[in-house]
Amino acid sequence: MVENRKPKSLFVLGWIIVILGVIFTLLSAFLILGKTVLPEEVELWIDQYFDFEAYTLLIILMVFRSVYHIVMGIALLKGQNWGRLWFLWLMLIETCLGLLDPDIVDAGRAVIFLIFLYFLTRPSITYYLGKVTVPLKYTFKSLFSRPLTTVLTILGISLVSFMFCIVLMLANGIAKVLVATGEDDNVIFMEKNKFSEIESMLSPEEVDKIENLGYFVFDEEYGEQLLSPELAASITLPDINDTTKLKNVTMRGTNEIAPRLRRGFRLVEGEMYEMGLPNCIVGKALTKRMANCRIGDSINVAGDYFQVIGVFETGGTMYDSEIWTDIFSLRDSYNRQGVGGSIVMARLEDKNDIEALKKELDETPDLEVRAFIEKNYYKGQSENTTGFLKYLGLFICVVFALGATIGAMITMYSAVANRTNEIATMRSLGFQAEGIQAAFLIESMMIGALGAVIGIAAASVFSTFEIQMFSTVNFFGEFYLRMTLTLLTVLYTFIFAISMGFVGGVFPSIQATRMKIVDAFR
Amino acid sequence: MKFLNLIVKNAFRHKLRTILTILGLAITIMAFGIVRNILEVFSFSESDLIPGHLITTHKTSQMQFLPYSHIEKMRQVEGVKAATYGFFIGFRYGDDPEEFFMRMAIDQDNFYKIRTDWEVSEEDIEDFKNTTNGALITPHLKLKNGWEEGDVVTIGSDYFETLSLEVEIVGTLAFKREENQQLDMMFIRGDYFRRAIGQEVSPELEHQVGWIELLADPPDDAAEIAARVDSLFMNSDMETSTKPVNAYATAQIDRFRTIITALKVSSYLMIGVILLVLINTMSMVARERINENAVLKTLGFRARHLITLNFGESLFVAILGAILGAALIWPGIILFKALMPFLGQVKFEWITLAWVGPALVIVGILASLVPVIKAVRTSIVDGLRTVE
Repeated sequence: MVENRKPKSLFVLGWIIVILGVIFTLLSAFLILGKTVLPEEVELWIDQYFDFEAYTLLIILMVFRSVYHIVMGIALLKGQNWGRLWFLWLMLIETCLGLLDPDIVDAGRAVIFLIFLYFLTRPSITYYLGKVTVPLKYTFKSLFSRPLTTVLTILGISLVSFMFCIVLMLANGIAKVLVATGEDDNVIFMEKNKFSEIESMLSPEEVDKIENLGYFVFDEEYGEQLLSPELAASITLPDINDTTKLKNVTMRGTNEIAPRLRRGFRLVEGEMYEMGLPNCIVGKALTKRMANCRIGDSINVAGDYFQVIGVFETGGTMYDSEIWTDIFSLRDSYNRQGVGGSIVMARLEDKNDIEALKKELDETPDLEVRAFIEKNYYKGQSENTTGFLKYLGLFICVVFALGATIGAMITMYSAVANRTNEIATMRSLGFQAEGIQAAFLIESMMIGALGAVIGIAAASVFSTFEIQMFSTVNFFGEFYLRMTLTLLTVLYTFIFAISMGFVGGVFPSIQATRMKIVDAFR
Repeated sequence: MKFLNLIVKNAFRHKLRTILTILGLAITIMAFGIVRNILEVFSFSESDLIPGHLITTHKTSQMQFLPYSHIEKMRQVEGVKAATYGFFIGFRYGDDPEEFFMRMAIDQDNFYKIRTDWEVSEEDIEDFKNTTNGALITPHLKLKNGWEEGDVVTIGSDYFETLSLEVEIVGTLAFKREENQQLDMMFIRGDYFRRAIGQEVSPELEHQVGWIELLADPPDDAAEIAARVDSLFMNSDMETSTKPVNAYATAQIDRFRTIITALKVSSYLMIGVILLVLINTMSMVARERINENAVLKTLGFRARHLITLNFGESLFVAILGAILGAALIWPGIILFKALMPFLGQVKFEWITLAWVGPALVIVGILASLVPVIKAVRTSIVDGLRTVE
C-alpha cells in the first residue's frame, strides 16, 4: 500500500489558512469591539463605511469565516482529509457567491479565490483528488440501500430548505417592490427633520424656490421642467373581504408631470384624472384588495367624494398601492390650503449633480429642505422591513438546521456502522481510507442536495403568491408583493442544504476511516 | 411500569445515537419554543381591554383632528357614560436621536373615568388638575431620567416644531398591564396643549382634538352606541369613525398577519423535523430488534408488551428531548434578543410549554408506529430467521 505521505505544500496551505482565520478573527473582534468598547472615533469611522445592515452582514460573514478557516487549517495541518474536502467545498461556495451575488463581493473573497486557484494547481490537492477513487455509482447505490432512513433524512432537510427558501423569497419580494420603487435620477425634496411624506409640509414659497434651483430636465412637450409638487395623505379604506376592517392607504395629489417621472407608469383601464375635478385613479394592487376601488366607485376624503375613473400600474412598485388624484382637489378636501405640497419630486439632468444640489440647499439658509435620490429613500425604508424578516427568519432557520443536521448525522453513523464489513472489504481490495471517507461525505452531501431539490420544488409552488406586507413608508401603509424565486435563492438553498449534509457527515466519515481492517472484519 | 427499567436500558443501548436524537429534538424544540414565544408578542386577550371602551377618530384619516365641540355632543348621546380626548405630541426628545419617549396630551378632568387600566393616585390626579402645566410620567421614565416631582422639563413636538412647552412633573401614571410597565411616557394636560398650539401654530387648533375616547354603557351595546355617535356627524365635513378598542388591537395585529402566518407554519415544520428525526431512530430500532422481539415472543411476551416496550422507548426519548429543549428555550431567547435588539418585547412565557407537551406525545406515538407494527406483525419464525 502507498504510504500516506503528507506533501509539504499541504502544511503551507494549512498555515496560510490558519493565519487567514486569525486575521478574520481579529477583524471581527475589531468590528464588534469598535461598536462597543473602543473610543468613539472608531465607531464613527465604522459608521462612515457601513450602514447597519452591511455591518451586521459583515460581522456574521467574518465570524463564520474565522471559525471555518481555523477549523479547516488545523484539520489540514493534522493531515485530516475532510479538511481538504471542506476546503474545496467552501472555496466553491465563496467563488459561486462572489460571482453571483454582487452585493457581497469583497476583497476577502478575492484573496481566498486567488489562493484557491493557486493551490488547485499544486500536487497536494490533485494528489488528493486522484485518491477519491471509490466510484460515484457506489455512493448512489448505497444511498438507497436503506430507503426508509434515507428518505426520512432527506425529508427532514427538505423541510428546513423549504423554510429557508421561503424566507429568502419573501425578502426578495419585499426588496423587489421597495427597491424597484424609485429611480436613481429622480430627486425628492422633503421638509428637514421629517421622515415620511405624510409628516412633511412644504410652503408654496419653498416649492417655488425648489423649482428655480435649475438642476432638472426640461420637458419639450409640456414646455416645463420635469417636476411635480405632490401632496401625500393617509386615508382609510375598507378591506374588500371584510368591510369593517379599515386599512391605511396613501392618497397622492400630483400634477400632469407626475406620471412622466415614474418611468413604468401605464394606465391599464379607464382614463387619466382631470385637473381640478374630483376624480382619481387607483393603483392596480389596490383594486383586488380594497373596497370602493373599482372604476365608477367613489372614495370619500373628508366629506368630498372622488370618483374612480382609471386604474394604473407602475411595474410592481410601491405606487401600485396608492391612489392618485390632482393636487388641488386633494388639498381642498384634506384641509391643506396654504400648503405647497408634502414633497417635490423632480428629474435631475445629471444624476451626479445630487451632491452639488445638497450643498446648495445647505447654503441656502431660508430653505429648510432635504433632498435625496428617490431610489435611496425607498431603499432606506425597505431595510427596516426586510431586515426584520431576514434576520428573524434566518436565525430560526439556522437553529432549525442544527436539528436536521443531527438527523443526517444519525443516518450517516448508522450507515457507517452497517457497512463495517463493506468498508473492510473495500480497504482490503486496495481502496484508500481517504477515498472511502470521501464516498461517505459525498453520500451525505447528496442527501442534502436531494433535500434541497424537494424543498425548492415545494417553495416554488408559492412563488406566485401575492402577499400583504406592512411597510414603514408613510406610517405603516400596506403594500402587496409577490414572493420571488430567483436563481440566487436556489443557489443559496442548495449551499445551505448541502452544508447541512456535509456537517452531518463529517464525524461519521472520520469514523469510517479510523477502522482497522482486521477489526472491521470481525 | 414494570417495563420502565427495560425501556431505559433499551433506549441507551446505542448511546451515541440516542444522545444525538435527544440533542436533535432538544435543539428543534428550543427553536419551536422561541417561535411560539415570538407569536405570544402578537397575541392579545380581550380581558386586558376595558369593556365598552370606544375610540373615535376622523373618518378620512386617523391623523386628522376632530373639533373639540364634538365631545359635548357625544356626551348627550344615549349610552355614552363618559367622554375624554387625547393628542399625540411626539417621540423625539432633544437632539439625540436615541433619546425618545412618547408624549400625549389628555383630558385632565375625565381621563380617569375611562382609563381604569391606568393607575394614578387620587392625590396625583388632584395635583394634575390644579397645575396648569402639570405632567404625569410613567415610573420607568421617572427612573430612567432621574426626574422628581416638582421638576420642570421642556418638551417639544414632532409635528409642530416651533412648539416648546415647559411642564412640571406632578405625579406618576402606571399601567396595570405588565407588558406596558417598561414604557416611557409622559402625559400633559389637554387644555394646556390646545392653548399652546392655538397660540404658536394656528388659532383654530385650539378648538381641535386628536381623538376622542368614549365609555359605552352597557358595554354589550358598544357597537350600537358607536353607530349612534357616528350618525350624529354624518354628512358633515368632520365625519367620525367610532370603533371599539379591540378593533384597533386587531388591526394592529393584522398588519403583521404575513409574519404571524409564516411563524406559525415554521413552528409546524419544526414539529415535522422532530417527528422525522425520531421516526428515523425508531425505525433503526425496529430493524435491529427483529431477532430479539422473536425471542421475547417465544418467552411469552404478548403483543401488548411489545407495544408498551417500543412505545415507551419512543416516548422516553421524546420526553428527554423535550425536557432538555424546554430548558434551552429561556437561554435561547436571551441569545436571540442579544442578536436582534428589535425583538425586545419577546420574553419567556410559561404558556408556550403547554404547546411542547402535547406535540411531543403525538410525535412519540407516531414515531413508535413503525417498530410497533413491525414487532407485532413479524411471526416468530420469520423473526428468528432474519439475519441482519
